[in-house]
Amino acid sequence: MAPSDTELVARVLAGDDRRAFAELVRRHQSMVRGLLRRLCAGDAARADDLAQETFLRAYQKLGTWRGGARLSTWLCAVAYHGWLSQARRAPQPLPPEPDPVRPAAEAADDRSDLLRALASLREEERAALALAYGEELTHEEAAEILRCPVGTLKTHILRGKEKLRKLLLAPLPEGSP
Amino acid sequence: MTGPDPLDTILAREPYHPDDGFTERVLASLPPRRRDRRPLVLALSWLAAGAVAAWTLPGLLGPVLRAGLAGLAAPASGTTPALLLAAVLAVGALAYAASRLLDDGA
Repeated sequence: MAPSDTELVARVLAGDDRRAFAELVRRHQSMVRGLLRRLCAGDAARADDLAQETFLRAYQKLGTWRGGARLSTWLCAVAYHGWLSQARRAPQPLPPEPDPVRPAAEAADDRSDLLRALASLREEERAALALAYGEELTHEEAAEILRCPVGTLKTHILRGKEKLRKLLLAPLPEGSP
Repeated sequence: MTGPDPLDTILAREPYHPDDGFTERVLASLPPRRRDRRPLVLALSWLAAGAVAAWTLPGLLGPVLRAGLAGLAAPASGTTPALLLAAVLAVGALAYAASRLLDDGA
């Protein structure tokens, strides 16, 4: 039976067990990289650099993890605050918005369009959507990471979704093929 | 009746990201391993204690070592069981310290 996250963390803290830490990285890397790709609006290289920094910071601060919260939730918080800190320090240029004349169904299937469309949202809207979808976080957990009330989180989600709906699911313009 | 919101479907779709060497890169970026200093402290303590004993008890250390060696050479004689036990413990402790030092250096 595979050891739990708690057991692996205990081994890292007790004896600097690098194999245990590698197992933690393998378990959670996809989730952390996925979250950061959304936050970075599809910039995969930047997202992976931030993901690497996330795990380095997690290694250094592993002793502050409270076993009450899931490790994945704690890692999401570390990743989000790393991204926020970098975004405030050096804002990134926005990628181009998705092509609005493409058929809705095709655009909806295109994941890169979603990631580009996320770039047009405000920081807090993008973060709310990135945390609330795809990472199995509850709204309460996402709000705690964003350090805002649940009601504010829901407002960010609604506003973000409205903008995305216009960008990704707009009806076809008249006369388009 | 309406189906699921297509936007919810798009947002909830998060593909698995294959590792592709990511874990190795993370491990390579970690700071050097913390070294357990206890074996080193133990070994140095033994050496210091030996040096102090040799310095302060020049006439005693030789006979003690000789008695210890004699005890090891003829354990069945039963003349120095305490010394034999102490020698075995000392050798064991030194061997343990040496093995830990070698492990840390590897």
